[in-house]
Order: sequence, then structure tokens, then C-alpha cells
Amino acid sequence: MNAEVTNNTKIEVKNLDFYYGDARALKDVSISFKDRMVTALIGPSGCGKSTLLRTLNRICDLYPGHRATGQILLEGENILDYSGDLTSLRAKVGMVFQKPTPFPMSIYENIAFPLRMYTKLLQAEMDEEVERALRGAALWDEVKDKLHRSGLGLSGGQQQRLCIARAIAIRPEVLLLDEPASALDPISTAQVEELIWELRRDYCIVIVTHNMQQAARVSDFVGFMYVGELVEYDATATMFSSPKERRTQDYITGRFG
Amino acid sequence: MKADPSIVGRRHLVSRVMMGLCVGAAAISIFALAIILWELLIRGLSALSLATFLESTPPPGSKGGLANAIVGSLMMTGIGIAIATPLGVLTGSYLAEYARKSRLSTIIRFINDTLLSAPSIVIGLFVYAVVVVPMGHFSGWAGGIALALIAMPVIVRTTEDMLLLVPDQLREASVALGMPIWRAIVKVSWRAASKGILTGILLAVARISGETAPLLFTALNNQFLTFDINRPLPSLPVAIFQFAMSPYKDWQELAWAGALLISASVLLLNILARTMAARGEH
Repeated sequence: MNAEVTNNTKIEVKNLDFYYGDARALKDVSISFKDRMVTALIGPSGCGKSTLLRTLNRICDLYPGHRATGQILLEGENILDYSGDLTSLRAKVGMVFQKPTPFPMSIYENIAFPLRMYTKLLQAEMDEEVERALRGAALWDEVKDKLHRSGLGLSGGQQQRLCIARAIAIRPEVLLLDEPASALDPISTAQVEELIWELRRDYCIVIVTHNMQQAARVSDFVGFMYVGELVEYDATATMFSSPKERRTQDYITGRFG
Repeated sequence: MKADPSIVGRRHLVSRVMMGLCVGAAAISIFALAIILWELLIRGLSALSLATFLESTPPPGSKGGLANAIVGSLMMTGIGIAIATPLGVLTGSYLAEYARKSRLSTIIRFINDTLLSAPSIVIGLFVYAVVVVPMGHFSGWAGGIALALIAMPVIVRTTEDMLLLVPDQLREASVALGMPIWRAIVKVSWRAASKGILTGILLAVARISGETAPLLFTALNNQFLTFDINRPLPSLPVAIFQFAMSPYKDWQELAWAGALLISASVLLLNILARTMAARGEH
């Protein structure tokens, strides 16, 4: 199955270096993320997985002193060269964080409010969009009767799916998931994983995870990172059955990390 | 190891002495507060009547009320908060959202902390020099501006503190949706911190509604009821100051009534602020 999809690259990262002030957090990383596929980034804490993810929508720009060099081509366009409106980039590249981040407003508004930044919709159309997003995140049935209650009243797993609904509501092309299930219980984790597998049909998904089983379950490709370098990248099945690098094998089998 | 009984006995004794000292100190401070409130209630309540709210401050030896002072206080507190709230909230937002660690924000923070603890009479003197002297007369505007200068640093501080409690991930989540930063601040950060910010504003109201010194040579006083902010305005604290020191019994009683009114409204504002803070987010 992998042979036929190798040329639908969505994001191509070339020779990416990243600095937190003087500290170099990414060293010459080159990797590609394919459309309608899930790519998992694994590696021990501090290896640069999240840093790599956070350059892909340039959320790292929020903090002074953070600097990326190299190229990140989103459909051929280098997003590191985007000088003007980063908001249009972020509209294309959605992100979900480790801890659920519902806004302090109703479930409905959590989704409607970001949408209003992009389109003018009638009330009925907005209702439809909200329902579409909530269904897309497999949350509709649980919240359809309490849309106007606070999003903060939901359980952790529901909050996380609300954040996913919010991210897909603005119809991005890429979804970045930064350890989206690490703060959730096993049942919620299973629901979120199932959802990722569903969303894979429509999006290019990049997920950072500490959980090897999770990477094996949800991803098509895996990149193993270690102290700022991309050590190995391959199809998930190959990676977990016969890694080429010694360091990958040691990490996967739990010898370190 | 089994402890030596003499050590254990000594330890219990020290423990009891320490606790006794703490309880004693607490009792003394609460007792002092209780006496003040008791005296205030007894004297204030007996002086309070409907006329207190309806009639203006009288000449010595005749009956009257505090209506003009109440109106003056409300107007100047209103002006003070109306000026201080936007300035304070925006400054606090700048410190917490835009420039957390910049050189400028460090300087602003230092100046604000200085202003926060500046003696209020100094602020009155400053407003006298820059507002009253150029205008050529005392006025409600000058009083309101002096009160604004006292309220503003309180609001700056609480706004910054409350915004810093909003997790950065919420900001990142907003920006990751393509929100411009100003929008993330207005729609998400302010919203998440709204109760805390409002509490800060209420505490600022409580703080300035009892201030006397900054009004003495800005708003001065006025024996008559007026709604003209360009004229000297009376206020409750200044009326108390004037009447309590007078030799006339009627005036002294009015001073007690005014003191009770201020204390009650400050108490009410504090309770309101606390219940709002306690209800937390949603």
C-alpha cells in the first residue's frame, strides 16, 4: 500500500534547524509528511518532536528568540518565508495540544467563534457547520442536547474531541496533534485514536506521541527522533519490525528513553 | 528509638506556648476590629436617618444630611473608575500579553508598584499642581483624576496577575486557529480572566471610595448639592474629616453616619468581590 502513495507529499521539510536562543533544538532535519496519511513522531523527551511540530504552523513565532532556518514546503511554498499573514497559514494547518484547551465559552461558541473569523454564515448555516464539526470529531451524540453549556464542563476526553472539532471546523488541510491522548484515560484514548484513524481519510496528520503502541496503532509512517536529529523514518510496519538503526531498535524495545 | 519523656514533655510545652501566643495575637487584632465596628454601628446607626440621604450638609447648630457628599462621592468615584479601568486593563494586558519580559515592561511594572504604594496625599498634591492650578479652581474633575491615579495601579496589577493565570496553551490554541493576537486577547484571555479582572476593579472602587487626602486640595468641598463637575465637590470622606473635628454635636453625629455609610459600602464591595472570585470560572 505504501508504494502507490509515496508521491502525494503534503509537507516537505528540508534541512531544518531550530534554535531556542543559542540552543540548537533541531539539527538538519529532513522529512516529508504525506497527504491522507498519519505520520507519527516518536522519541524520548526533549528530542525535538514537539519543536518540529510547532514549526509546521509557526506557533513557535509567539516566543521571541525562537528561530528556524531551512525550508518547510507546504505544497511547494516555503512557510518559513511567509512574511505577512501567518493567520492564513494557521488556518490551513490546525493543531491540537496535549492538554485539552476549550475556550471559556459554550460548546457551540467554541466552534462557531473561530469560524466567524473566516466566513459570514446565517444562523442555520452556522448550526450545520457546528454539527458537521462535532460529528467529524465523534462528539455530536454526546453533546447535541447541551450545546449551549460551557465547554469546560465536559470530561477530559470530550474536551479533547471538542478541540479536534474546533480545529477541523475551519477546514484545514493539515492536522498537527501534540500528544493528544497523553492526558486522557484509556477509554478516551481509544476514542481519540479511532477518531484519528477516521480523520486520516481527509487530512494530512502529524502526531507526536510518547506511546509506542499508539504510534503503531494509528500511524502509516513513523519518524524516530533523538537529540534534535531525525534518526530514522519509515513505514510503520517496517519501523517496528525491522528498524535499520541501532538507536531506533534500542528505543522501540525500551532499552532507553 | 523511644523518645526521652523529658524531651516529649518539653516539646508539648513549647507547642502549647506557641499556640497560645498565636491565639492571643489573633484575639487582640480581632478585638480591636470589633471595637471599631461596634462603636461605628452604635454611633452611626443612631445618627442615621432618612434626612441623611435627602438633605445637604447643614450650617453648624442645625439639622441636615449628607446628600451632597454622597452624590459628590459617587460622581468622583465614577469618574475615577471610568478613567482608571480602560487605562489599567489595557496596561495590565500589555504587561501580561505583549511584553512579558521586555525592558519597557520591567520599567512599567516598577513604576506601577511605586505608584501602588505612593502616599495618597502626594497624589493629591500632584493633581493640585497639574490640574487645579492651571484650571484656576478646585473641581470634581480634579478629584476624579486624583482618585483615578490611585485606582489605576490596583487595576493594572490585578489585570496582569489574572491574565498570567490564563494558561499559555489557551493562547497557543487561539493563535493555532489563525486568530490574530489582539483577538485572542479580547475573546479568550480577557474572557478567561474576566472574573478576576472585575474583582480587581471592585477592589479599586472600595479603595478609592474611602480616600480623603487626595480630595482635600483637588475637589475641596461644597456645602451644597451640585451635579456640576467643574465646581468644587463635596465627598463623604472630606465631610467626615471636617465634621468629626468640629466642636458641634450635630456635625459630629453626621460624621459618624458618614463613616458608617463608607464602611458599609466598602464591606459590601469586598463581599461582592469575594463571592465573584470564589465562584471562579463558570
